[in-house]
Amino acid sequence: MSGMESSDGEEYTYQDESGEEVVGGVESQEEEEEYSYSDGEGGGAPVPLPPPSSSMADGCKVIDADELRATMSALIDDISSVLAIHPCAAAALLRHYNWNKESVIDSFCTDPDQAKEKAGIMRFVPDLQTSDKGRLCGICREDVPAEALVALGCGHFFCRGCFTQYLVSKVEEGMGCPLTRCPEYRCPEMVTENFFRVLVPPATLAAYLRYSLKSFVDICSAFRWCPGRGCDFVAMGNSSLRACLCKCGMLFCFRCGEEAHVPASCEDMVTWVEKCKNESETANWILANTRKCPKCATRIEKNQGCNHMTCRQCKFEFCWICMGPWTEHGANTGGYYKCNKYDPSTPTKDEQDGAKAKAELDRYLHYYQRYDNHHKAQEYATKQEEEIERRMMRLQETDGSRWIDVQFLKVANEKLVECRRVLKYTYVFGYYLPEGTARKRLFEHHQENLEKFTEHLSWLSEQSLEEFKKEEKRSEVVNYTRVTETFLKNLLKSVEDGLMDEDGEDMEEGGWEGKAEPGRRAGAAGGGQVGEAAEEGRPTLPSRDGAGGGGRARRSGVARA
Amino acid sequence: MSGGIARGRLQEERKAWRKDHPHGFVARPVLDADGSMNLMSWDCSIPGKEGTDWEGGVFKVTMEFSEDYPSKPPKCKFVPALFHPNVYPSGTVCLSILNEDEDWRPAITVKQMLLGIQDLLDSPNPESPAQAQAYQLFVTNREEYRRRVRIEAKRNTPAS
Repeated sequence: MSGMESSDGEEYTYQDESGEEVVGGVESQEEEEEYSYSDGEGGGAPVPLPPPSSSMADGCKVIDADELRATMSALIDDISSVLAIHPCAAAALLRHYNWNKESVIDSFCTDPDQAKEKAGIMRFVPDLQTSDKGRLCGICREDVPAEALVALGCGHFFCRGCFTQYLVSKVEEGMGCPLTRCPEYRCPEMVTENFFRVLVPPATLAAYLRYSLKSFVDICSAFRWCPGRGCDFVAMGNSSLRACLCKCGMLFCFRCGEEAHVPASCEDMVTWVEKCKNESETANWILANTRKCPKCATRIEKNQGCNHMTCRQCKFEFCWICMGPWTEHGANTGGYYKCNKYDPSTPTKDEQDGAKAKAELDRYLHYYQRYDNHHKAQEYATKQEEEIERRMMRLQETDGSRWIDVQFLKVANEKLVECRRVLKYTYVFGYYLPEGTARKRLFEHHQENLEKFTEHLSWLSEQSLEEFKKEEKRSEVVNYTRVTETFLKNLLKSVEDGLMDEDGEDMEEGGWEGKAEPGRRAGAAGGGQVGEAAEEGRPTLPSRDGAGGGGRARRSGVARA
Repeated sequence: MSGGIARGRLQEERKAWRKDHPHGFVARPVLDADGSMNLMSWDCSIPGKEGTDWEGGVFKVTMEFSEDYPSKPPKCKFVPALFHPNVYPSGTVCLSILNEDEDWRPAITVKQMLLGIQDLLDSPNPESPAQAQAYQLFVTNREEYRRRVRIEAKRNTPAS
């Protein structure tokens, strides 16, 4: 049995040896807090937990309908005062120019008449016009007395009832109603909000205002509706935002409106989803829901998140991804969890046939299988939330823990959900990353680190409540939650930086070889600082600038000296 | 009131048409089996404009009004279907002023609709093709297209 169990009860801390240096980065100050962890000697209350990760949602503001309305009004008022026109006319201009303030002002200043013509406010008046004599209503074609006639600034008179009915039917038609024009054939005059206000009943007006707001969001690139089911919040940001956290809990990509998919790009996602659709039958056929135990061939269904499997029948421990014995997932095989790399150098029988298409399918399946695996684990972890609450309650009841003492379970699970989601998309990103490049090697290194810590955290947090009565077990979860978060940040940061080392060079093979090994700190003394946990002189712990560890840190250290 | 005004409005349309309508055009409500007038369904004829390839032809169009008229436009259909890029194989006319999501306005009259359709005959809109045959010829082989139009006009020339 691997070090998995031998590690139980041990404590790890993530301070580097000297507590100094390691990174010359700007973030070192604030990050220090999160990295250096030491559980108090007495094993008292857990140290304060880091706040839920919001790092990925920076720059994104989530607002409700009222705030949105205020934002829209502010924009309208702004144009209204700059151009000295009625707010309703300003709104029509903004709508015509796709809510782009600059193009409204530009066009208006260049040729005000043309801008007004286009926006349908050439003859705008704030109030309905009344007639001095009876006329034929253009809609019902009846002779109507003067007092029952109304018109927009264009002077096309209709009876009040017909005009109102026209507006009501426009609102019933839906989205297009903010762009309603005069009922007269080819008349460009726009029916602005002020007319809806006087003519239509309150319920219709409310619907009109909703559509008006909706089209504002749909058109403005600075806003996006949260894609969460039944969620009415709106995110404010810009298309460079890859992840936006809504108040409803949905984390989505601002640019494409799908679930946040960092590190994969929106374009990669479109191609990937399309590919998955095309390949789904093959993939489904190959990726059955159950697998046979590699030793005794008992059918096994994976019903928990961790990839470390133990066969109930024969107690054989193996990895769900590669189906190899878990004992081989250690330092002696070059990595504790070495299942994220697709290795074309170990051809299967089929590949020896030389069929390129088959090789490509295998490559795809390699990535898809892992993508799908993390997807299911993410769903599983998400579903776990209720169960976690129950476990937290039970833990409090059984050993008198306080509410704050059991939060670690929830925080760990939230981190798991996040890591699973990111890991899922790393396989999309990785699929499109050219093989054999230093960038890919660096990426896979980050991916591997995040994956093994995520797996370990997953395994840790699935342990029985009995285990969690031990203080050191709790500390271990807290500790791993943090470290896993660090690896998550490192991966994302590295992708953001283009997967280059900080000198802009491709890394030498082995330049970032520092491997972090969860649960393998055989030499770590309980409660001690595990700075020395390097094996054979290699840095084993994550340095502050990332899993990229030693090589990089040293270099920057030299640069500053 | 929406259901209410369709018939009244059509009655007025009928009156206005009888008082004055463009030369060569026909528009009248159909007669039901019992000889009564059905205001919701009109038979119309549109002449091809002089000086165009459509000249000489007279094209039959039906207009089906709904109770939502004039909030919603009538459905206008060539009978039989016409060789034209913006006429669906069913004969339905694709024209922005006849589309409630586009330029339909409740004040558009029967006269304006028919004149609009007449304009469309010789000014097809390649942006909204409705049938493959006429559209393909219109964009790839204008000479052949015009030949086909003249055949279509001849085919629809009244006997007298």
